[in-house]
Amino acid sequence: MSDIIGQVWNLIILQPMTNVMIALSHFLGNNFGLSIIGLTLLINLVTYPLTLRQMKSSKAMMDLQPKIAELQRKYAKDPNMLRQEQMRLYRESGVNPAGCLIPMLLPMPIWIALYQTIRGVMAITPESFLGLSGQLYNWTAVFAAIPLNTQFLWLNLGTPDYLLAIFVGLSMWLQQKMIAQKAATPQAAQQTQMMQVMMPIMFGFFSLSVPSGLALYWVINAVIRIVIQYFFSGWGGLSTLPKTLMLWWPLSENSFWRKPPARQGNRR
Amino acid sequence: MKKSILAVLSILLTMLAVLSSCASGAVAAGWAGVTVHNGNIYTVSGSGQLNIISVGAGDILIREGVVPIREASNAGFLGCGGGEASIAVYGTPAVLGNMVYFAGYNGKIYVYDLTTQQLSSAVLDEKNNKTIVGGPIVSNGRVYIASSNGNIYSLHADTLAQDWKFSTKAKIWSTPVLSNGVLFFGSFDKKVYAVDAVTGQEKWSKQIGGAMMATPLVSGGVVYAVSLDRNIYAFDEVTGEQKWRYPANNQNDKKPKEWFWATPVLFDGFLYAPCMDGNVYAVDIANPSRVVVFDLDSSISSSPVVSNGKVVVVTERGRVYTLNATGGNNGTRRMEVDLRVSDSQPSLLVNSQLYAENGIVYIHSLHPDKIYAVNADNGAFKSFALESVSGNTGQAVPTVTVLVPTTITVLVPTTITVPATETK
Repeated sequence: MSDIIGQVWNLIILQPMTNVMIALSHFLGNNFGLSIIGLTLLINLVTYPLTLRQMKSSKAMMDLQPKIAELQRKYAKDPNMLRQEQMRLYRESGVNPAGCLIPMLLPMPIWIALYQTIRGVMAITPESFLGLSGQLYNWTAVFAAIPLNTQFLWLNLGTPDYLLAIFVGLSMWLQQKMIAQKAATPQAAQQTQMMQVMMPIMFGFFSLSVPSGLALYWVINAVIRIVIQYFFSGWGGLSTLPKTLMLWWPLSENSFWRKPPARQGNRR
Repeated sequence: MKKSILAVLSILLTMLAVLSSCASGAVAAGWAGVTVHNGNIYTVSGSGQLNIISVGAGDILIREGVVPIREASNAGFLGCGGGEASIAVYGTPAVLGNMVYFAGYNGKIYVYDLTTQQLSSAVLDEKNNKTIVGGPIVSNGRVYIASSNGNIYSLHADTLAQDWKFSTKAKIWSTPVLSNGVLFFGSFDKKVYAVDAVTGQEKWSKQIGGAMMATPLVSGGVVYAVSLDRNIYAFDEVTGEQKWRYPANNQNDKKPKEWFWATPVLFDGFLYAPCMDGNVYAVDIANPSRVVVFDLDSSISSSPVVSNGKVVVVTERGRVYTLNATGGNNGTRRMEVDLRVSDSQPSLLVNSQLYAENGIVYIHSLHPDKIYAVNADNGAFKSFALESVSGNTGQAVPTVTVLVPTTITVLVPTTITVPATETK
């Protein structure tokens, strides 16, 4: 059974990703770093409708927070009633509370496939490199490109990198901060704040254990998501950054950093 | 909602843990080949132990010594992988006098003194330490070894002091071969090199279409090289001039589907090149457009050997074939034994270099970690489990002699003769 799952995984996810990335690298001057950036853009382009739906869902949830807080106050002593009323509210507002979870889980197979791809094409271990042979399509460009150049900027894409791990943490924190929702209760606010800190730290730590090629994907992905989010709803939670941080921003007081775009309200 | 967030976080953690270095397969395990010297078999097990096995009367295998090769390792995320780690070895050990030389994936070269039973080691290049995948070769008091740092080194065999080094532009995983005072090897920089073994000066280098993992084969003034670009090349040994290539420009439809990973063998006018696509391409070296293709059952990543006038090939799944490109109209292949089935193993993996002596072919299987001694004439074999013993970092364990009770002899009557396909 595990053999069949493995074969299906290879056929549908791993092989296409590996070959597309090698071919991309070949056409981008044997630069696997650019290939990773290209793949990240491509994935974000393909999943853009889902991303948009997730953002809309999150936004709708945020808009419901005052009503949910009201319900929580009203049914503080009756959890069952509270749950029922919350569900009714979600239903009437056309919001699916799990709507933002599926897009969150979607990237995971991509991470795993990208990790396997990097281990193979970067020849990190002889075992992983040997296993690559059977994954390659019969394309001359693919065979000519192997093994790929491991260098990109200061990075060896096959090994972890401390500086990139910091960038991973930082970019994810910015992303989390940007999309932070206004919590209905102090407990929920605490939980949201914990998520904002824990996720970036967790990813930063994991970046120290995986090839920097994967960490590069995380950074670029976070940057793309920040850009998309900005055009969707402005700077969001980032506009509440402490004043000390704001001083670092070169455009300072008059910057759009401090003033979320006017169109924010129109996009609700 | 809170529960959902927690669930997502849990899944995230699990997925990331799988991605981290603790995940299986991320760690180099090694696939050391077998060498036989003065009646003793030398190899390094998958658990990183040098095994010395003698071949007794009646071809009985006897364990003479087990030497653990370990070193302290850095702890990974959440402490995973910390403590003491065994060292992976991919190349085949080389023996010179009483010394056994082999190289570790940690960038160290190891020497085991058979007389004093002491293991010593030295980092190949302190300033640029990288992994070593190829094996050492020893000749005229020198040890030649290549590294993933892109250099090939000549070391004094007695002190391991560096004699010279020669640099290429990318990592080298291929074991060099020495012929007429010249070292031949391939690199990830897609070149074949010929370097003077005494001075370390380049004689010639030739660009090919892909990286090269296999040791070149030198015979009759010709250097045969196989590459990941799925081509077989023949160069003049002295000038480096390309004599031919298979498939030629007008034979692109005959291109193998996967890589040439292992060294070919030359026998009876044919060059037998095993391919990862499960075929062995037997090229008539006098007329390279004539090729006999033997379709075997699975990928082949170990080099064939010639034993008792037969070309013996072992597939990754452990099927042992004898091939003859000149037999019959289109050549013949015979499956002598399926080691996995005959030894009742759920799976079997052979990536290592084979060794043939006195009609016996020695095969190191990684899963299970065993040595198989196969009589290629009749498929009879003995298997010998490479066992682990505990020991401290870098110290040799006193020699133990164990009469092996686990040898099995199985006669396989079901050999088949199947014509291969010939392309012209």
